[in-house]
Amino acid sequence: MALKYYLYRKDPSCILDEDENEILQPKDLDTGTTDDPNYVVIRQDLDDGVPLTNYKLNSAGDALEDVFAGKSTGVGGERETLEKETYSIPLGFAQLKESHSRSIKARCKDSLQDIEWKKERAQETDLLNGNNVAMTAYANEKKAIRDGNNAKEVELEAIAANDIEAMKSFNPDSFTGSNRQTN
Amino acid sequence: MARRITQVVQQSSGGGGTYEDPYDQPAFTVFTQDNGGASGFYSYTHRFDRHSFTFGSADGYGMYRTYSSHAPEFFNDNSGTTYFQTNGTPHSHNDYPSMTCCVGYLGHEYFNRVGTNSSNGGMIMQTRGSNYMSHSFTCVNPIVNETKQDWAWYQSENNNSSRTRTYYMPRSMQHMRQYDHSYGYAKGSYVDIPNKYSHSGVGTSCYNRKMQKIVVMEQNGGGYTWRPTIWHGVPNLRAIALNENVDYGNTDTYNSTSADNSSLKQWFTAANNAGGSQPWGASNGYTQYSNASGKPTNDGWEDQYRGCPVLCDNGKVVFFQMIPHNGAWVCRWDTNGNSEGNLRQWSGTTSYGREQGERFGMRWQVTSDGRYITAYCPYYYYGSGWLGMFIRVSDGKFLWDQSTDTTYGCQIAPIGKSSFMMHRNINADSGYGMYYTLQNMDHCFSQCSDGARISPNGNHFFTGESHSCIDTPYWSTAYPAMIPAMYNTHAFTTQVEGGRGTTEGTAKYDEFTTYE
Repeated sequence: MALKYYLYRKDPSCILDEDENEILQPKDLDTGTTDDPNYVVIRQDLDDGVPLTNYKLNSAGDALEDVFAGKSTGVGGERETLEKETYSIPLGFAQLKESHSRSIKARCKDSLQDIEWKKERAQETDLLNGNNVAMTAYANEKKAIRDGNNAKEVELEAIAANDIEAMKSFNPDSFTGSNRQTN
Repeated sequence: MARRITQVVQQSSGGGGTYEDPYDQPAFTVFTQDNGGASGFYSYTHRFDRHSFTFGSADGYGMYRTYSSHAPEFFNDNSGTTYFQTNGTPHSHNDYPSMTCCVGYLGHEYFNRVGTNSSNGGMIMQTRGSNYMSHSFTCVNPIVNETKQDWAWYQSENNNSSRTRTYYMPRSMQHMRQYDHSYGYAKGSYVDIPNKYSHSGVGTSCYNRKMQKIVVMEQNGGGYTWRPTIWHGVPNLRAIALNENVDYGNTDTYNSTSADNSSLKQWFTAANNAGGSQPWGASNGYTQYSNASGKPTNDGWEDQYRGCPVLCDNGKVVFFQMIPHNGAWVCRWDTNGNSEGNLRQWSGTTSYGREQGERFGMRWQVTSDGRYITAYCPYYYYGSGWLGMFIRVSDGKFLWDQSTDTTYGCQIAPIGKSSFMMHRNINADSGYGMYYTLQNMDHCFSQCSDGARISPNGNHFFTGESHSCIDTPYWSTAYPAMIPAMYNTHAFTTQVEGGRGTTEGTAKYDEFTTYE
């Protein structure tokens, strides 16, 4: 155990660096002159037996604390599991959810574009037949795609918070009316 | 078709021939892809000029599309997989193309890279192909003091008790995949180097072109102890690789050739018969160094069978290994072949090595002039953070650096003559684009003492990134990936007057000079 310098990033939170030599406070990358408030340099004596990933900034913002003190170490130990569940999985869950949401909308848009050619055919069919049956069918097909989009978004929202496996297996392309039912 | 090398016939009386601008070649490509948005590849030269690009959108009719039923099948098949998405970061649970371990000497595991004559940016593979290609990254052997980095050699068979099986071919992950994994090179195009200590490793030999020597690291049957064997006076392996002919010295018979009597195999047999304990200056035979010492801890497949050895000009051997879940370490042998023990240990946390799949583990890169090499691995899980070292081949001096980042991948590539570029896949959104740093190895090694951290003027590889200058092909949330390019590395030596010496204390401008 020895005093070392630690560079801590608040968001996404982790110790970015450790060094026996002084670590300089990062500057704001836009100005290059003022301190970047997302980083803190702390000099502290940390327990070598505790993974760096278990140290987080205290509420005062002036020291690092072992947030899983007393938990077991090693591969598959409590510290590893807790760190993953508390910090890593929520970050990945949020990234995937945001991406899936965009993907559903993009797939919906693509599916609607894919059947635009049917509109002209429906208009001509209705003109010849003197009714609006074909255009109604076309409108219903588009509505089914939009409804499928909405149902898929509800399905996405229903995934339990931080259920990363469910989020990973979620297929944003497959919904009623989508032009791509499998992934 | 665009041609990217500037070629000018030299008019002066001093030389003649053509001039090729080495810095006008592709150095790297930035890739971003969002399932529902714009995507593509922007390639840049060694001076960060725009080189070429491939770009498409998710829903634009009549143009190159990277997503949707109108997209090429590879894109459409894979646009929803995280292998090719840049909408997240590689922490504890996902593959992303921005993982630290995705890049190495062969480029990027998941992409076909651009070459000097490319007129468009890169191209993805199918996810199946990406897993296939990672095999080559796992078993490619380091090459140093080689200015013509258009070839590669490999060893992929772990823990054989009598031989170290090697392959020689162009610098291409596809070549290796086909010949080793699919064919097994059954007609004898591999070469078995006899083991002198114990068992074979995977990708654990190094060729020093200038010294015409190789080091083959052997291990004691999975017992985590390594020992170097130096082979002296080795034939020109580049010529063998690019002629695709390990049987270069025998009469062409076009009959089935045995793996036991190719020319290169015969050379190794003769060298073996010449005996061990040869002096460093020997031009034949081999020399065994002492066993490695001081390995801080053990984990599994990655540190049982893999590592990056570097054979230096003065006889020193430097060996870097990732130890999954525990970080990494460096061992060095002195000029007398004695182990100096553990010279640097990185602390670690949960991390994936080769045992989790061929797309994970330690990688290496070498500068364009072949004088500096870096070996590195991720810090955290799938591939975020960076732990690694840099070695000056002339004398075995090494420096280290690290980022214990648990969120972002850090991807390194050679740039210019003797520099490396480090990309950290921070969100490119809001007009920031790609984040990167550069370090010139000549400068770093002149500023920092042996075993010290890379810190010329206080700057590590992970401080003070540049941004807002390298655009990425998607302008919302995107965590880019970098794809190292394939280019004429030799041009950085032949097309630049003068140069630095490869050993400390020698005069500059007397080596690599090619003009009057």
